[in-house]
Parts: sequence; structure tokens; C-alpha cells
Amino acid sequence: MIRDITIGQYYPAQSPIHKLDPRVKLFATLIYIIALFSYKGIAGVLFIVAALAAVIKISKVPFKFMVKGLKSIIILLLFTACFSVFFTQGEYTIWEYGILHISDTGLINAATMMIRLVLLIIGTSLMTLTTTPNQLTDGLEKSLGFLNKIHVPVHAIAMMMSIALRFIPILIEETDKIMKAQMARGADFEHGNIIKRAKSMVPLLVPLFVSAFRRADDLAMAMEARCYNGGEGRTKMKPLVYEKDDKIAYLFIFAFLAVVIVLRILLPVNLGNLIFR
Amino acid sequence: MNQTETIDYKHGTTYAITVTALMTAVTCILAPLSIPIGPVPISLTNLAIYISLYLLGWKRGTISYLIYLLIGLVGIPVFSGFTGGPAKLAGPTGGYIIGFIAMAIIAGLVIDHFHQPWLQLIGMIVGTIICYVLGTAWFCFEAKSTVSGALSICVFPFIPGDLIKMIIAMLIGPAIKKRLR
Repeated sequence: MIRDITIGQYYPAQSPIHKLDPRVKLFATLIYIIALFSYKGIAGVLFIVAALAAVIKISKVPFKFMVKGLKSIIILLLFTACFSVFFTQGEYTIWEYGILHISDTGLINAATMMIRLVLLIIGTSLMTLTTTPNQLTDGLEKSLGFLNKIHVPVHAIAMMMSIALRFIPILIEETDKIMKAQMARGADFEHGNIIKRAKSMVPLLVPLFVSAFRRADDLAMAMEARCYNGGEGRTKMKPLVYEKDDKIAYLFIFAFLAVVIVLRILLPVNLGNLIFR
Repeated sequence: MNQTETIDYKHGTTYAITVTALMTAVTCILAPLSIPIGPVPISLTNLAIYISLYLLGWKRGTISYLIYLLIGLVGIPVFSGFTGGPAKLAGPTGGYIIGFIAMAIIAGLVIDHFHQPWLQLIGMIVGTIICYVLGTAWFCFEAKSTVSGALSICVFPFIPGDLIKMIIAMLIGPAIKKRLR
């Protein structure tokens, strides 16, 4: 049920990747996503796969944790791939039946989309598996610090993230209690048609929202009693500091992007072009 | 504490931060859930957004959703189906998740400025249409899909559920708000 939700997907281990500053990992993930949308041709894919494999190896996170994220996307992946294969016009039609046909472009598009999506999920889950949510929140606050200059309240955003993260398990427990209390009074959350299901949500949602508002009220009062008055002048218990490994990691990140761009320019050959020409 | 101070207090910055954060937490709890009726699961994401807009106003409601996005971005499994991480946002259905921001702004503005339920419903419908447009555009780009293909997969099956959620929000949003005063 609701209780089964695990906060975060962090996999604890002692590895160089785990120890990196969260800002480095946020930046690396951003560059990785840019690379996935920038590469062209088979050489680019192979290089990205090799780089990803190397980082996974270094991180000591078991590969099966990486592929776990693929489960949620598999149906969408197959649906979209089928649409692409059967409904895309191309230069060479391999098979045809009414409005359905298989062409070279359809196959290439489907393969490209599937590869990119799989690499996207595996690669970006590295960040979430090797960094705790609180570290990432700190990293985000620092990384978005430049937005202060255009009046974006970065500290308030980070504070809201931290508060929300802290209250998720508390409110989950609250939701569970409310459900049990309402079931004890005869509510049925699991049967009936769509209208009945919708009605049964009301005795759950209303007390949940009311409870959240009361907690917000109490929390605000408690924070102000502790002399909280915004981000100005605050210090941090665990400040983020770059170390030598972080700087080395930045060099690797830029080198990675440079190679992807060079391969795009020099070797844009698609495997499909070789097969169908 | 007398009544005047209570009223002033509720408009303070700290209260704004905590109430937005708590609403974000509620969104994080409701959004991953879905009601398994029929082949298309009905997600509670936009229901949570609509109710936040009723309770917080369009500005804080939208900020609440943005914080939820950031939390999902850093890997907490708060997106539909208990998923999370940057891949969800950068993937083919990420456009809909981003599109919810536009939906929140449009629906929130209408909900704030009009008190007639049917006008609020229209605001939510318009916001949802904008969300569909953004999501479909991104899906076509990312998945190299046709517009009709994207609509068939990502929009048409969800329309009935979305309409029902709007009606629910229209009914219970004001009820909750009344209870909080």
C-alpha cells in the first residue's frame, strides 16, 4: 500500500562517485542529457555507452538497480516503437499491408528512440542512486544560486524542498491512519465503479489537506520562535566544498561532451544508412 | 494571541514557506497514486494540483508544483507509478509534466478571479488543453511520433478521467477552503 513507498533511491556504498560533491553530479547529469540529444550516428552511441559503463563500474552500484527504472517505461517504449515502425513513410518499404508498412526510416526512428530512452534512464538513475536527497537539495540551492541576482528566492525554494522532503513520510503515515479510520467507519476504497471510487476519495482528501494546513501553521510558528526570518544571514551546518576529485571530475565531464561533439562532426554515419544503402 | 495578530501572522513569509512546502508534500503523496479502473490508470497528479490552486492561490499553488518537480528531479519516486529522476522529465512524457506548470498558472488565475464553479471548470479545461499541447509537442519530438500517434497514446485515453478529476476538484476545493478558515 502507500506505506511501501521508499523515500529516495539511494544505494549506500563507498566509491569515488558517492563522495563527489552533489553539484558535480547534477552538472554531469545535465551534460549527459545534452549529449544524448546531441549525438549522431553509431560512433556516438558506442562512446556514450562505454563512458556510462565505466562510471557504473566505478560507482559499485549493482547493474540490476540501474535497469529497475526501465520497468516503468517498457509499455510506453513498445507502444511508441510500434507506432514508429508501422506508420512511418521512408525511402524503402520492406513490408506493406493496407495502411501498415515497415520502412527503413521507421525502423531507424524506433531503434534510435529506444536506445536514447534506455540510456537516459540508466544514466540519470546513477545520480539518484549515488546521492542522498538532502545532498541534492543542497547542491540545487548552490547550483541555482546565480538566480538570486534576478530575484528568484533560491533559499526559500531550497527550504521548501527540505520541509516537503521531511514531511512526506509523516503525511504518508497520516494518510494511512485516515484510510484505516474511515474504513473502520465503513468506507470502501477498493470497489465500485468510477463514480463510487471518486466519492470514496473525499473522506480521505479533505482531512489530509486540513491536517497539512494545521501542521504548516504550527511549523511556521515554531520556526519563527527559533528566530527564523529568511535566508539573509543564515549559516549552514554542513557547507559544500569542492575538493580535488571534484575538479578532476569536471575535466572528465567536459572531455566527454567534447568527444561527443567531435564524433558528431567527423563520424555521423548511421548504422541504418549502411544497411539500407 | 489576539485575532489581529493571527490574521497578520497568516500573511507572513515563514507561513507562506511552510504552507507551500506542506502542500508540496501532499502532492508528492497523492501524485504517484492511481486508481486502476480500465486499461488507463487515472493519476491523482492534476487533482492534487487543482486542489492546491484552490487552497493556496495561483502563485503559491504553482510554486508548490514546481517544488514537487524539483523533488522528482532529484530522484524521489513521486511521479506517476512511483517513478522519479531526471529521465522522467527528459523522457517522452516529460512534456506533460512540464505542461502541468502552464495548466497550474492558467487554471489558478481563473480560479482566483472567478467564483462561479462553471467558470472555474472552464479555466481548468483550458489549462489542461494547454498541457496536452505542450506534452504532445514534446512527445512528437522525443519519440519521433506523428501528432495523431501521440494523441492516441497520451491524450485521448486520459480525457474522461481528467474531466472527472476537474469536477471533483471543483466540488471539494471550496469545501476544504471553507473548513480552513
